[in-house]
Amino acid sequence: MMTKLRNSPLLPALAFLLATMFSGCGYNTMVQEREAIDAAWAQVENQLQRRNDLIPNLVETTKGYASQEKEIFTAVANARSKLIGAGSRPQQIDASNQLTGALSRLLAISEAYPQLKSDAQFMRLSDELAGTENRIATERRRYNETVRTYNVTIKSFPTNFFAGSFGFEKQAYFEVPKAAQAVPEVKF
Amino acid sequence: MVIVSLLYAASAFAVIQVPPSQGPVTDTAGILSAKARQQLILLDRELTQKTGAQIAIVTVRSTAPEPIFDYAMAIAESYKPGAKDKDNGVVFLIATADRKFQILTGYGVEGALPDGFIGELREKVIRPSFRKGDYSAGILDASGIMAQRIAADNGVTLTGVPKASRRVGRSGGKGLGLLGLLFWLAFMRFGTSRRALVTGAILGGAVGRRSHHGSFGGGFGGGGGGFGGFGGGGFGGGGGGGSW
Repeated sequence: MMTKLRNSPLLPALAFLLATMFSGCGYNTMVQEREAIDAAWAQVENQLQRRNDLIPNLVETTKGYASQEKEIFTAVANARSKLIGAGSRPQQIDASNQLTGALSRLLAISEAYPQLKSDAQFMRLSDELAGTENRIATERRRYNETVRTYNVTIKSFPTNFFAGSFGFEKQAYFEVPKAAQAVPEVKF
Repeated sequence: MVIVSLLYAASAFAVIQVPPSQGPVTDTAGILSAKARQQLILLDRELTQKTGAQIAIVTVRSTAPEPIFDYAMAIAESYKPGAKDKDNGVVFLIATADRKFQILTGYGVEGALPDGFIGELREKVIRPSFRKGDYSAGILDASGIMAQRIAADNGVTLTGVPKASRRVGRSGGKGLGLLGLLFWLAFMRFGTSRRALVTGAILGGAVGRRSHHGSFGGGFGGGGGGFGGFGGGGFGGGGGGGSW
């Protein structure tokens, strides 16, 4: 049976048919899943932008009560412009984590300034910031889910044979250092 | 030829177990009075009828080991309150032993209920009531105010807002006068008996009997119009929370 099949002139055709079937099926899946990642990343970027837009007001309000905390304002400004200037996703992720850390410290100084803490504007802005950090966390989780699905696909048979040659590289997760995972919260 | 297929098992995110939905109010911590529970159900029903928006109120003892935000998101993604095409749902989660609450606003109500406003609700309504141990009042007032704002955003007014006398932000909470109360009672009874015609045909008149006893309709799946289920609304993590 095997010898018969091996000598059959149909074998090359059969092999070709199988190959195209596998690559066709896997290819479309990979394309769709990579598009899902891009769509999810766009949502992450929307929320990062939303946070960037909130920062100037928050910093201004804080400066009104705690102008001497120059080091923190500089750290926030630097992280914010680093995020704006970031090109690749890993750079954006890195800058975003840095900004989250700087913003936590900014909110934390309110503990030392009771007047700042009781300022209605500050209260509203820090609530908006906390909500935005939650939105970022939510979109980050959804993005990571799409990356996970895709990364599994490109490592699975039979797509793993074609993924590399079609340029489907492993995609990076949006990872947050454990220390920076807590959403900044001001205890009013 | 030996084919080795390397199937990487998807290490799925740990699924957070949330209590099964009991309708608009899922009070597993048992902190709501029967009256407050009824008022919340009626409030939610009117809000849903007029705007399609839905508020899911859930109480638990603790969300441990999950942070309350993650737990609330798991509820939002499991219940999906709000209309599918409007994403106008709200989740209001209270964890009594943790002394924490979280409100999540669906995409479609982020305009009516900005995060800063939820913070204001926390300061002026929720925290003062909760600190006194009056969960029913805090939950009713906060839900009433949120419902009113969603209604106002949709250009409608709600007649059955229980007790939202405190003014928060731009939401003009109106106290419910005696006339309003009578009006409301009449409205609810009418609503009950009218729906009973339909439901009664299926339930063999059980609902109709209930309405004669002056009941404000049953709970989830019971008489008085029942609860049609959540609509499939989406959430992006907006809202706010806090401790008390």
